[in-house]
Amino acid sequence: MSQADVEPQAVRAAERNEKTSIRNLTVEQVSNLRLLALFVAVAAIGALLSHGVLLRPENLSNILQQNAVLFVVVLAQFLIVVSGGFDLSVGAVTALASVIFVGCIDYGLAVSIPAALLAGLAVGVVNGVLVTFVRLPSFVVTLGTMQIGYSVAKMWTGGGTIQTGFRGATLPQPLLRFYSVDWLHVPLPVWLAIGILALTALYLRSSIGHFLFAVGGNARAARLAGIPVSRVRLTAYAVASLIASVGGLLFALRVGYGDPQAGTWLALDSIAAVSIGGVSLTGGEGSILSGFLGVLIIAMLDNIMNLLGVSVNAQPIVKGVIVIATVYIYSRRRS
Amino acid sequence: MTDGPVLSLEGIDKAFGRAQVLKQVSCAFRPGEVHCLMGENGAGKSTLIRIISGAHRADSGRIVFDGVSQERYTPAWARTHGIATIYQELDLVPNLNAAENIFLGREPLGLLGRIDHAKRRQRTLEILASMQVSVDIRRPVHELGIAQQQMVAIAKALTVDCRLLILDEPTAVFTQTETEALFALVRRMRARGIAIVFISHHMDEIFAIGDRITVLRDGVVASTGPIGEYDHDKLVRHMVGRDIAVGQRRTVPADAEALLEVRDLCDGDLVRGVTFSVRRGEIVGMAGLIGSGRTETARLLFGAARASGGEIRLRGKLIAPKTPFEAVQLGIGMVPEDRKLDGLVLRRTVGENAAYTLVRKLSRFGVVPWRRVRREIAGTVTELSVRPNRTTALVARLSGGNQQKVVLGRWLAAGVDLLILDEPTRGVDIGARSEIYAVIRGLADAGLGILLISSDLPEVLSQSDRILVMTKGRVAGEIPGDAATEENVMALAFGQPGAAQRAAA
Repeated sequence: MSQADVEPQAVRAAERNEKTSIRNLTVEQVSNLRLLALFVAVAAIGALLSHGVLLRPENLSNILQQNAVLFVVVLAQFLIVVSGGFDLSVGAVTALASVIFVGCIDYGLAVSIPAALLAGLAVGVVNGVLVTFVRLPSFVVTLGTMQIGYSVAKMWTGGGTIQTGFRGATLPQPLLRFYSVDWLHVPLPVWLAIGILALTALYLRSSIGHFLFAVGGNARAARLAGIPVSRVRLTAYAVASLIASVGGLLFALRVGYGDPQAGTWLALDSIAAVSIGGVSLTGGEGSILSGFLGVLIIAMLDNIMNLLGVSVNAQPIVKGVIVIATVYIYSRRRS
Repeated sequence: MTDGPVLSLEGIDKAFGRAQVLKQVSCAFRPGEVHCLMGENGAGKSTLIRIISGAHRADSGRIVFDGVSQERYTPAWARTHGIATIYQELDLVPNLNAAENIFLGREPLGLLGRIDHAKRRQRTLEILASMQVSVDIRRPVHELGIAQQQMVAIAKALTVDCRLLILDEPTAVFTQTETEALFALVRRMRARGIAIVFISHHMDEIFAIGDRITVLRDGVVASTGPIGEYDHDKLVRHMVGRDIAVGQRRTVPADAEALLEVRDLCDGDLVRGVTFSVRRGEIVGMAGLIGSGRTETARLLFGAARASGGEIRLRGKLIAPKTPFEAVQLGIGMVPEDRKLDGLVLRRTVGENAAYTLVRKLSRFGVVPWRRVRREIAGTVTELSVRPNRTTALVARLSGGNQQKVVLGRWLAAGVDLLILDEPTRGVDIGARSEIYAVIRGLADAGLGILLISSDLPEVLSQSDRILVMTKGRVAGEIPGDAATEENVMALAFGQPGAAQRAAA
């Protein structure tokens, strides 16, 4: 047997060991484990407090359905946080996309859907160019485009919500049922969110997506390794806003209209979700699933508090405490 | 006070981990004397002055101040007893003016604990007048030139009754006039009975200002005595005189294909007309002092900085890489000087860090053949015997030597023709070092051209087929590998007059 035949076997054996030995887990996998533990703990405590209501299938289905938009938007936020920034404009992109989607519905879905997505993409490109080439902090850039995005959406509708296109067409009836149909006991919007998750994971396995972790972890070293840092960053911003505009489509399907005030909470909720998910807020680290789990934890907390009759005014206090506490725990682990 | 030394060190030892940096160093600093410390990069000068300033504690040995041995020698104690250090990196607050900086934390107070601005201003002017220098004390110090900033830093040292002043390469970025102004100040301070420790890489400066010389070599005092006992040759001999193991070397035929040709490459004051060539299969060493423009030259070749003039030819074709991305495309790779800052993404894994170039090379339209990448990287990691031999280990957890192997591994599979190595074995232990040398030689044998930048003379001498010596942004001379000695390389590096001719001869 030649040497060449032996070596791949050794490599395969090594790969098998990696999968089985707990010491070999990567950063992301370890934080996923802790996150899973947190998730199970919240679910168990919630089930106990709500006398089992939390875990009833119809309640779970409700939680997922109500948070489908956040499930999508957190993916966008995840990409930008991994790149070492923050995207405050995700909510504005969602609002703008919902307005354009409904506003162009007279021309048919074949026009209105691409129009909404293109608007989102445009915001992302502006964000990306300002962050990458003009070298402005992402926090400030997206704060600006957030305000501009909301303002453009409001100018389009005149300030209120928008139910019809220019010539009075509304969203087609079959589409409005999208939110109420289940497949395998899971609502269709959640399936869509899972689909977007799969596409995002695919993007992160492409070369330009894979490099995002390097760029977010150490941009100088990434550059000197021959990674096209600017291209990687710019693409991330464009993809993120594209994803956020899908969130806008979902929003419009849920309520049946476009709303320039949609998603004012999304930017901060999505940042909270990725923090709870253990994604490093300084960039370069984190798993895409952890963002999803982060949303699930936040959603369950909301639901538990509703079931227990906690005042709506008091609920954010609990959320705030949880966010700070989890980030504290993660920071302790790193040091 | 007697005529005895202000401060003397007796039998100082200092180790960092397993590296013994200072061994039984003894040294005395007398009032009214300029005491020059000399030695190669890494000879232990910086550690020694950090011990004098209290920043480091000696492992053993005594520090004697005014004839009394000091047990608890701390930075604060040193400062209040008039021992001041002016590091190359001045510790001034850039947006404060000279007066504010000089009295920072010791502001003269007036009624009710208010800062007495008038008094502070007055005392600042007095100090500057006593130094016979003029500095605009209203402007924030970052608006002043570097030499003026240094005067402010020295003035700050003089606010307490200064007994010992340490100047760490004060002239490194000075013009001739600025240097002369500093020397005039040093002479006045000497006349006032202050003991001065002066560190410089420029021999002409040492001979112009020094009274006494101590030469450090590999952490021991190689030689010490009054300046009159030394000349250029003797100094160089004491600095470098040690045995070195010569590695396997070969002479690449002069008619071998020239891979890289650089002519008159310029970038501001740092690179001022660099000309040289690298042939296929050849390891070209680049020696020189820190700040001689070697790293800057490398960055120009790799597209990490833009040249202001000159030309670069690769395989005979004129190139001008604007980014490292372009340089890699052209077939140039670089292992940067600062592994942690520029080389690695510390929070990612060994495999990822080693695979960046491979991912780029193998992906088509963004699609990465992950299975193949994983297999090849597992092979590279094994081949370089990176420990632990696991691609999923966090690269931050590895030792310096293994981290460097990961950076090196990145270029093995990249398919580059020219590899620039900037200080490839800094902070790397002996074992990993020889492994790295073997890899480098292997790459050269495979037909790559290697540019090996190193401040470690034995390394350059033992590994290079040909040695370029840079001084002040230029190639001062070129020496064939077997003709090179520490003496002739150092002589060129220190810009000693006539050295180039002698080396060439």
